[in-house]
Amino acid sequence: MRFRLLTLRLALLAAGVAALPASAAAQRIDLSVSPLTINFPIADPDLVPLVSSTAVQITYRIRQNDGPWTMTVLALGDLISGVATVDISNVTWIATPAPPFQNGTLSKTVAQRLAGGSGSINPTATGQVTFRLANSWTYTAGLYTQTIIFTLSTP
Amino acid sequence: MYRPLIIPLLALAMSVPLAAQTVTATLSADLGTIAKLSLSTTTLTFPDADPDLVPQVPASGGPVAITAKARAASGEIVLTVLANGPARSGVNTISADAFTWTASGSGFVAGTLSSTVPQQVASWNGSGIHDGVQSYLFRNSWNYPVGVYSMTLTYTLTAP
Amino acid sequence: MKKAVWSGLTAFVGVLALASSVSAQTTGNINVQVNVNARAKLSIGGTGTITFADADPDVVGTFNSGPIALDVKARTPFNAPVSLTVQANGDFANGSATIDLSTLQFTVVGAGFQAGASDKDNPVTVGSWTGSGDHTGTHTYTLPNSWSYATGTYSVQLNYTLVTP
Repeated sequence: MRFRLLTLRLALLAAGVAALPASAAAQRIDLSVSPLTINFPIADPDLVPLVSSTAVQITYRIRQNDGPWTMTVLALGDLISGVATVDISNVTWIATPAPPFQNGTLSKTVAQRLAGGSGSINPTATGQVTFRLANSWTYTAGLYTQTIIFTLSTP
Repeated sequence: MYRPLIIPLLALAMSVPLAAQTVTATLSADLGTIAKLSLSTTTLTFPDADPDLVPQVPASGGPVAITAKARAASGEIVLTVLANGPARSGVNTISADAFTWTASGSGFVAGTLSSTVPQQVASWNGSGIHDGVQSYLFRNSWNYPVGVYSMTLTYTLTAP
Repeated sequence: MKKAVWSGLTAFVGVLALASSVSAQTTGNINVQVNVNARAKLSIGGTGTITFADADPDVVGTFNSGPIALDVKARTPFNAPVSLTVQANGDFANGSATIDLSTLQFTVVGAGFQAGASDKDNPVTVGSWTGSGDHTGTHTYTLPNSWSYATGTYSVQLNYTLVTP
């Protein structure tokens, strides 16, 4: 009698596991960014107080997803040229379409939300992001760079 | 007896890993060396005056306000002025060194015009916006022939 | 158990080095104009009056005013003439008695100045120059003393004129 009960309960538990949503078992996420070098051209701070970067195209697809998804961006530090730095918070962006994309300001400590939604995104969707750097006469002259990481995820 | 078996099975059933993909890109900002110079006027006029009463004639219209903006990597940012020759009226000339100036503003200095060597008006270290004022004086004399004399001053702002 | 996670890390890193200016230079111009107009100024030293005090002609044969400063300032067109003249406004007279005006003479010191004798009919050159400048000198009047002069106080006004174009 005890043995039968044990077998039955184990079977039930196994069914529960097997009853997990199929999407969780087969979620697929694709993300690409172009270009991978985002340039801010030299500009007169009086004429161009906000320097726009080359437009960045985000291409993404999320399959077999029933829950929320999030796209974030995180800088790995300030803009750097030798020993000179420009605080990364001087870089903002505007993004379309909104929603799911939203505008924001780069951070080197906390990944910032770039886009979000729920469910699958299939076929591939695209968005455009233009970064903008606050221009200034007080920056030390130089070629400044920094790495940024785009992350598309589903919890 | 089978209860302890349920717990680990439930734990296995509840763990659902995160799905994520990342792409790394690079920001590249050209904050190159640039310089911009603004002068409050493009003309300086010295009126006629009795040399006994006005030995140093100030320019009418008041001082020249100067704004120098420069983004530099390192080294000294320098503003100079050079006359294109003596002040000339036909065949008559008045030497450039008859013109002097006093100055105010951080980095600005007084000086005397030259038509051969650029004279320093101001200098600074590092990027920024710098404002100053020059007040020109013309050394008056009974010896100048009558005429309307003219010359051109060229200011040069250099950022390293 | 099937894995529910796809994870892939794709990293493309490239740095585009835009050409930044090694140095920068900019210029600005100001046009300067200086107005030098014609003007003239004459300064004569002393009080404006020359007085020859009475004296024994045997003792003081010639009256002497002593040097009287002259300062001639003029701004003229290039190489234009500048002249200083003096002319008496009448006879050297005391009522109807007169002393020969031409005996009232002057000597000078200073570049461009020249000696002369007073005249009521024509301006007499005291100095002449060319072009702009500041000319300083002195002139000294002399008058012969004589037993033949009728007593009295003789006077004449001397008018100086600085002429510039």
